[in-house]
Amino acid sequence: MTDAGRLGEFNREREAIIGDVERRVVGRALDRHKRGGDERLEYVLNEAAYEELRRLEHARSPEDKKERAAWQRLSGALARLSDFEKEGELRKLVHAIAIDIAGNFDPRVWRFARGVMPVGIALLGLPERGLLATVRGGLDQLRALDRNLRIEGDTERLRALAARGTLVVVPTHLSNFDSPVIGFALERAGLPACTYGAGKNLFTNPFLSYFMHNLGAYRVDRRIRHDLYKDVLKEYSTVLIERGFHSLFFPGGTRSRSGGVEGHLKLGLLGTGLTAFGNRAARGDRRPCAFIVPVTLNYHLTLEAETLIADHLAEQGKKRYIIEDDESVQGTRILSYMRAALRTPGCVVVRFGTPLDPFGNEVDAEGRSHAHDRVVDAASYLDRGGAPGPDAARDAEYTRLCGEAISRAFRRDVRFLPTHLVACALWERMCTAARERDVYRVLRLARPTPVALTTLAEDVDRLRDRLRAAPGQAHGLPDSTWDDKDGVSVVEAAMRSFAAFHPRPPAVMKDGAAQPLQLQALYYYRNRMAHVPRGVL
Amino acid sequence: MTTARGLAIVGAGALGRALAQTVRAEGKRVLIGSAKGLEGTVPMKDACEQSRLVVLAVPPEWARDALSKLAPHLDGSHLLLHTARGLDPETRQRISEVVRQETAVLRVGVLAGPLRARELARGEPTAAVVGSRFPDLVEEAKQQLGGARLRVYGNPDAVGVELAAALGLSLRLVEGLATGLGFGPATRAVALTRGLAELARIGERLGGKERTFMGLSGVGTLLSDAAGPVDEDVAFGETLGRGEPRLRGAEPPSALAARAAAALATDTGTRTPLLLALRALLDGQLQPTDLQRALMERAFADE
Repeated sequence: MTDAGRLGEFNREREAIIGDVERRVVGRALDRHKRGGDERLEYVLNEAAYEELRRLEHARSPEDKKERAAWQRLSGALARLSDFEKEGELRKLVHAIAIDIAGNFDPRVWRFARGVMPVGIALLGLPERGLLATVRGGLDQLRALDRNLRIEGDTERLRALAARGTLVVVPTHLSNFDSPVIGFALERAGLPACTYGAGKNLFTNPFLSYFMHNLGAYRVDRRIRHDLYKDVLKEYSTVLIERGFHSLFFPGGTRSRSGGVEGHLKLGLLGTGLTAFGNRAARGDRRPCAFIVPVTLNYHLTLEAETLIADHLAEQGKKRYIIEDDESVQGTRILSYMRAALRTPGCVVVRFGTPLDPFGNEVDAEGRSHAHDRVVDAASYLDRGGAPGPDAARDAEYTRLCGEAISRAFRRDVRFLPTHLVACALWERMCTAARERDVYRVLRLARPTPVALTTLAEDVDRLRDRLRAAPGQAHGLPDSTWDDKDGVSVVEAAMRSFAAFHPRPPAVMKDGAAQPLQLQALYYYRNRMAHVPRGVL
Repeated sequence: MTTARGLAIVGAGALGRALAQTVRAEGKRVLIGSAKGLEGTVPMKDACEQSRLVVLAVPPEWARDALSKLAPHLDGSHLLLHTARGLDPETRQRISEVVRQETAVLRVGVLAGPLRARELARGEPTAAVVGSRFPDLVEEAKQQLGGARLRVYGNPDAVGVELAAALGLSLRLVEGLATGLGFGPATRAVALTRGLAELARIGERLGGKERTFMGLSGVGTLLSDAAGPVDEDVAFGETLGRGEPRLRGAEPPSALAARAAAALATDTGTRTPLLLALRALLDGQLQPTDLQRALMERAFADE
């Protein structure tokens, strides 16, 4: 084993993992085919061909055209194929998808990446443009991140659990910086490296692709919509967890556009932790094996704040899922961000939450599940009249409940930095002054009223007190770094941060008063507290 | 972990015993669990150990206490149904939420519909709906409870079924109120119909489906109640309608349901003029004689 932990053994098992995935996916498809109806192979293959032909309808590159032609051939031939031939097509397709998804792990690349830590990992999030400038200029700033990032939570319990089973790390997602930051935080917390699914769009840069592909990341092509692809992807994740490869994915699916803490989670990959546990329990191993670790990533500034909030406001309900032209591809903005954002003490707070089992129960350091102070046998949830057994509908509901537990953990564990507190207090003042709560009308205010520094500081202090006094502190807490500082210090710190990075800051101090300036960005930082009930605000 | 397949009913009240009688009439085994050692009951521990499906048949105000006593005997293998027609009075949470707060059980559902203990005990045919997102719980309930006397339907809209049953009780108050004000069947029908529509709107805001309120747990129970005898809920509404003085703090379940519904409507920003007027009436902020104007002189709207 290399110092990369379990992930260091990935390559030795790669073929076996792919083999497991293919065997299971094909086996299930053939079982369903035998039952007949809408799940016969011709329907499965036809759905895949239909979705792929739609995706490739306007194909331009020779590779895409070739792919389209292959799908057209399959689509045209389906009605004439025998069951044996259809099974052959299915096997070919599943194999191709599994190979495309599967990652790789090269210990030499791992050591190199760690040697230039955090640059090596930081590069994962950065596309080609401005790359060289970023590398040269970013080294110092990323060393600053090393000094200024703070880790919170019961990491000792997580280290104990990592030795007993598989960690499934599920962080909040705000920025393309999240991947390097969480990778860095895992290392600093003494936790094992994780494999994770990365959007295939991030693999288009050959340099980045080289790093990602050799550090265990697997490819997720969000453009492919057919069920067979999703089935293979989920099975790949299941097999990894089952075999003990610590995994990471962002349950929000994409960066939070509003700046808020994710409330609605995508449950597809989350459910693979439960499936992995169920598979092992069905083989007689009732020990919990998948431990879900909610993590909140808290930044005082967000690199892509302006683009994300503009997208949120302009496209509500029709958000762009993949944004490829935001601040995270502009070298100068990245450098500016790193200079401004990463040099402040406590600029990033990574909080590891209480680990959960796949049913949403808390887990102790020995891997035992607890339901309201009582130890509960997690395998008992899988009982089907005396023995553990699979049940897709039941397990989907369990996963939904686990998703709710993660959402609660996110809200409880979020840490509010001065920029969030000040933006929230200022936003509330603006709404009150304008007698308006409609976001779009408030955003159109031509001349928002300035708020005196002392008034704003009092608001911030009151807000901090209320958050601390809320039952169960269920809505998150102010960052503890600022506990012994008064409201004025918090306001001033926020204003310094805003001015240091944003060309047009969300708010500025002028003549002893806070003047809202760039309202969309102000709204973005305020939204970190959007889940906090109005009674607390 | 229990490996049994049996059924236990916890709560030896009229409904619990009538349900047990209905099941036994089908030749099936059922235990009645009670902490009080009543005749024909077994201790809670035995009931839970020997049964996979546990039916909690206690009123909502007793549910949390009963669940805390059951908790040591329950684990993840159990399936739990409750019959409580109301919300937790302290927190206004659904009883299925209380189940998950107090016990290790996750597979939870509600048994609702026009279930009347006396008619069940007489063996008259009736039907109920199991609201649960867990299909295995629904199937088990059908197998264990269903038969020639009791037809059991399933509905995955657990929130809708539970809210229709819990909040629907407020319509007993509406019915009594209309009578107390001296109105006839047409006005009562209008008040009940609009009341149900308001409850459905609240249900939708909280994740339920409007259609569920038109099923057994909503309309089914409403029709059964309306055809039934005058009880303390209706009588209280009549007193209220006549503007007679009443004892403070002695409100029946229908008044508590109306208050809970109005509070949920406020929390969720749901338009519920009738329920809000009911609350104002209960709080003495509106006189019965002003109720008609308050409701009828609003701007016209589509149904």
